Amino acid sequence: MRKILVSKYMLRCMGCMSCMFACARRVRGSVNVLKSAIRVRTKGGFSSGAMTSTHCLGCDEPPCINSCPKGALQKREYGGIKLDKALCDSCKNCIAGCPADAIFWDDDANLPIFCIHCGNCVKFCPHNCLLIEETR
Amino acid sequence: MKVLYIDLSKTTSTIRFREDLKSYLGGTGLATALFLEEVDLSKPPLSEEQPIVIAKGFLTPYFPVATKSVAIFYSPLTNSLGESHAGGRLALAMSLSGIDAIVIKGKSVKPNYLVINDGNVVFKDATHLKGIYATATATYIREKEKDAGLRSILRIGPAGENGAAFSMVVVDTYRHFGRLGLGASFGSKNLKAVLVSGTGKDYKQFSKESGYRNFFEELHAKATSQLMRKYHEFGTAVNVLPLNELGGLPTENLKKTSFEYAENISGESFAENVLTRKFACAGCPVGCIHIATIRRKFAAEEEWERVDVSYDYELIYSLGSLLGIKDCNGVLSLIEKVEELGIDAIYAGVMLAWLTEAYEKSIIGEEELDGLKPIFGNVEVYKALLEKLTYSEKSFFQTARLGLTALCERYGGHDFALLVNKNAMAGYHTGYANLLGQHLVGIRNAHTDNAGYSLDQENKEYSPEELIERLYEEEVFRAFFNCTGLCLFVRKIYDVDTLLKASKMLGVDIQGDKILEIGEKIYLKKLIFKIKCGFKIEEYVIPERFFETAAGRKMMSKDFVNKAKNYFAKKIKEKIGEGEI
Repeated sequence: MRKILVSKYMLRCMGCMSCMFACARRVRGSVNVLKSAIRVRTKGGFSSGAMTSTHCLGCDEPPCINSCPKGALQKREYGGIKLDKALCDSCKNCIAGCPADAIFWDDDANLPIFCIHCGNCVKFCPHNCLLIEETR
Repeated sequence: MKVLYIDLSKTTSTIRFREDLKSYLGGTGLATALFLEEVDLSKPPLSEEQPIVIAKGFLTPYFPVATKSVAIFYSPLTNSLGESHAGGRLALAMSLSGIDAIVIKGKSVKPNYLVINDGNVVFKDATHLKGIYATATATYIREKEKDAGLRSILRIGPAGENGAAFSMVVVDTYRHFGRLGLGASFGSKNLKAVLVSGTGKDYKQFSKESGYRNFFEELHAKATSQLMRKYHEFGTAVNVLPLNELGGLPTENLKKTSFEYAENISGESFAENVLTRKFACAGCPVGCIHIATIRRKFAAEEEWERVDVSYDYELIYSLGSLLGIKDCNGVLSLIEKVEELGIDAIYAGVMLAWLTEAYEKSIIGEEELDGLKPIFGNVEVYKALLEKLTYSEKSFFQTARLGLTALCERYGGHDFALLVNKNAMAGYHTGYANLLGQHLVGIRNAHTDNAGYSLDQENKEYSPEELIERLYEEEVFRAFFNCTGLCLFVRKIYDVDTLLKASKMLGVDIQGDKILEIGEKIYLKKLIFKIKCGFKIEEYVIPERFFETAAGRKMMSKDFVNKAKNYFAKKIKEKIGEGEI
């Protein structure tokens, strides 16, 4: 059983970034939306009329794990990735190793940002675009 | 206070820390102070020495709905203080870039756009973007500047490039620095666009003990509660029917204040027929930006195109009832046109309404209008006129590009020009409070509607003196509120105690009784500048049309207005004294 973040209803997204603020605030202890593990953006400008979100998809066999030369990444039991900060040498290989481009970088900590599928972003989305879903 | 100074003539930029301006807080206060340092009243508004100042509020990005940035400039439309507020992503992007304000001076040799990242400026050639619609300009820049991250893009259209005094700056597609000709100020500097982004490295951190997280989340909960429902549900457009009902919806150049087709263009009708999504400014969970889709057949054999445009109450008034436009799609087509050309939507409506009545009265004819015959309700002729107002080299349209005041000076027709200190009236004709708020007491210039219409709807009998006092206090409070960066829609969520608590968390320790003092300092600074630009309270003339048409079903008397005018003049004299002007 996995419990992972799914951005199921992005057609309804207003681009308010409440999810990004929530992730930054609650998980990273920061007001900086760029520390969020979820990124909401337009699909080619507002005039395209569509929003998209980028975040960890909770792969069954996460390719990022193998991209890490230090073995700092482990699969979390319910989906997503656990980072062992002590082992990370900030090589950024994991960023290239994610096919969904869903790993971001924290310049201050000099460490990658991984979604922990905690659902804090879900709680703050005013249009219920996001949810935590149980999958097998 | 971190201020980014940009000189387009020298293509240089510098950061200056202006701790001396701390008491101006941010937003309108900071922008006013910076503007007054740089402006040169001996030179015209569009000369290259004049500054454009853009400031974010001091609560951005720390609290919900602190989404507004403020532009202050020397308005080519009014030859006076230009002030305009815009949402979108700009305030957040400025905060990410680590700058509280931007001061732009000088003139680029060639068309140019600026890329500002973490306070660093790159000057980019925009020769290829000359004449490109405001809508398409953003697409080109977005594609070119791939790595900018979370960003805001300001841009002008052909109207700004061609010096139309009523041209605006589009911010992130659906928000605008409207009303007072910031588009022409950009154009006069050969500045086509500005992109702002950054990494947020200067942000303040909060300890767990500070209570920041809970406080933020309480405010977020209020912003998504029933308190804000009307802004999210139908949006500002929900005002169309109530205003029509009470006889306050300016219709057909304010010959009337109710419109027989109001139901067709009501917020309810837009929602039912054309609304396709909602957007929000960055950091605002309310989401008041209503987007409608125009579905349009462009050729036989089932050839269709679609375009999305945003609508609000003020646009439905100016490009709807004021022009006698009878359906949603007509209003949307006109909004689409002003977005492309980069013309302020409200001024466009007031200009077109005047042209229509001037044509009806044979003050102007087909000769002046290049063969066009404006009639209330005719969308196509208005679209054609907007093109002429942007591009035509005919003498009539060259004068028109200077604004409606210039047209009236040449052809007459002041009486039915819906102008407020040379700016276009806001979409309310509800009574004395609205009238006096717009014409006399209002200082936020682009934002002429200082809730006077709410006072009018209270159905109380205010004396002229009482009304001036109420409006003055509201304006002074707003002068403070607009320093925060908060959207005025959330003023009920951010009461005085909340404002003080939020400020304190950011290290801005304000005493409750100082709020109006700070607001008044900013208010009077702006008013003094306005007076230096020629505003004379006692001599100020309100166009006849405002008195000829019942406001909220009541005729207004000039006697009442004169009493208010004299009272306000006396009050201001006591406040500022002769020596300061």
